[in-house]
Amino acid sequence: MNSGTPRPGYFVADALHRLRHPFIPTVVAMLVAFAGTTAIFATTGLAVASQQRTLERINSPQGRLIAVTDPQGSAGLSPESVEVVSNISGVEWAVGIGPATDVSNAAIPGSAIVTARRIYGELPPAIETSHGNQLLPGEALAGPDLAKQLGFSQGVGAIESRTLSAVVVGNFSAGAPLTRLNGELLVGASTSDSNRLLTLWVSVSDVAHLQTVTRAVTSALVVESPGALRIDTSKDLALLSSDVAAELATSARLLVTALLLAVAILIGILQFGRVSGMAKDIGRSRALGASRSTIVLQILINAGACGIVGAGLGTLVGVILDFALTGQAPVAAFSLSVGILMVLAALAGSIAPAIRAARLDPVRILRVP
Amino acid sequence: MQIQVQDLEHRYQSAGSPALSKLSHTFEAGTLTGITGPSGAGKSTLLYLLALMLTPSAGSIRWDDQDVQDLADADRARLRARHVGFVFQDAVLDLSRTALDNVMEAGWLAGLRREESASRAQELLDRFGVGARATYRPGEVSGGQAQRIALCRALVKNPEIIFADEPTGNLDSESADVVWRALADAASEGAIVIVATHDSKRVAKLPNRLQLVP
Ligand SMILES: Nc1ncnc2c1ncn2[C@@H]1O[C@H](COP(=O)(O)OP(=O)(O)OP(=O)(O)O)[C@@H](O)[C@H]1O
Ligand SMILES: [Mg+2]
Repeated sequence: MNSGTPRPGYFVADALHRLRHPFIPTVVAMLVAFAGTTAIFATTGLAVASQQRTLERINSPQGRLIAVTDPQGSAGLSPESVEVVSNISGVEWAVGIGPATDVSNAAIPGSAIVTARRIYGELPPAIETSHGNQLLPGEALAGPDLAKQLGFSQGVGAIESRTLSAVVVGNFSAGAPLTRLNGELLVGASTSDSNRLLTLWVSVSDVAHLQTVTRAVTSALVVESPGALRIDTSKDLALLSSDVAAELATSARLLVTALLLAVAILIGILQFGRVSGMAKDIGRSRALGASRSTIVLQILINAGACGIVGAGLGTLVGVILDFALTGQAPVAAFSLSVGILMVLAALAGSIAPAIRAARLDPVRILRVP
Repeated sequence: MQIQVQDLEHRYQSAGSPALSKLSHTFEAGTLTGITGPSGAGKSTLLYLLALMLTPSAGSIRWDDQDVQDLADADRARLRARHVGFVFQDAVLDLSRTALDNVMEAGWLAGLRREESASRAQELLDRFGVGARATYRPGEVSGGQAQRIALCRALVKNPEIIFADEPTGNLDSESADVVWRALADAASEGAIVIVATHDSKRVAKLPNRLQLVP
């Protein structure tokens, strides 16, 4: 018993046939989708890619750093600030350092003199050590090559100065943004000691929250005269980037919309032409029992297939193009959205021709030899 | 099965006078009915109405106990796909497809599986002497061969109803014999077969005839 409803296999076989017969509209539709997609990548995609690069630069460790300094040494910034600030949400880590002191090898009088500082708080990820990230009071870590300068053959030994004595237990190497600490000796200290901080570095988890976190940090500091402190952030850079992003978003949206619309219209015109050329075939199918929805589906499958091939290739070429020009591919979400929107545009443009095809009168068509 | 029409009338939108008026008739399973009448009498119009490709202006069409004249398009299409084979005056083949694919299309639309469609199509092409042309396209076969391919397309779904609109108008008498014999065979196997034709000699020999007047 016949069901009267074509199986999915019919649509697949029919679609494959109709992509090849006629061939020219298929190729042109694919080219339109391809050109529209690459055009988006060549304009908006480029901007997105370079914006992405700017954002990555701003979101670098350097860009996410708040530096609280006491340039005259008169503000009275307490080491307790380190603990208080570490607990603020949005703070990745906080570390404080005291003023520099000259120290030398306690065992060799008159040996080389190096700079040492007290360091407060857990050692941040930017500082790599041979000793873990906790430095107890009285323990010290030497910067690269410093142990040798001090004459410690095993890398360990005691150091001392008038105000400070400690045991060097290992070494460290500081990466961005704390590279300036390399070449010094870091001495563990308790945040409850009575010394003062020279600098408090605070790293923010997300550059987008830089301003809010800076405000929170400023008000949480344990300090005698806050007016004497200097607080540096990359906030100007961050502000600039959000302005750029907002402006880009508006003009890009406009351009992308225009391109999608153009693709939809062009593919719609192509499909209208195709439907006229296929009128006899559509009338015959209808007479053989194809319903209107079958005809609509066939047209949309054709448009979707052209869109997927064209937009797929366009996305591939576009991503490569943007990478070649900016050294940075646009974010995946952008590339994927462009591809999907282009396929939807091809489908949207084909709705009117599909409806027209479904409304063709098979009787009129069959009467014409 | 039975098709019963009652006071059937059809007026085309742009036309003043009806193309078909006040027709009542019953078509029974297992019969071949010849429809005759002068040009413009409404023979083709009647076939399109019966095949649910036109909606009558008045009157009713019943397939067995079901009133079918007012069904929605999707339902008509499904009934047509399941039950109706149609042979048009011109073969009306898809020029881009092979003979086999042309015949298969009706099977696909009826809901047959691909293999089922293909094997039945090849069987029919063989039976009507065009099996060797299965991979030819319509532009590569003769008019008589094209009409036999169209006949195979009408038969591929084993329809209970077969309409033929001047199926032999363009054929030599040998090809015409093949087509008439096939239609008669389908009727003797239980189908309702309705043929519109100007071939009064052949219709005269048929037990069931319907004469339309303009
Ligand atoms: N779309 C239409 N609009 C208006 N009138 C139409 C339309 N289609 C057909 N007609 C008219 O309907 C009448 C019946 O046409 P039909 O094709 O049914 O006749 P027929 O009996 O099949 O003729 P023939 O033997 O020449 O094939 C004709 O007068 C024709 O002009
Ligand atoms: Mg006619």
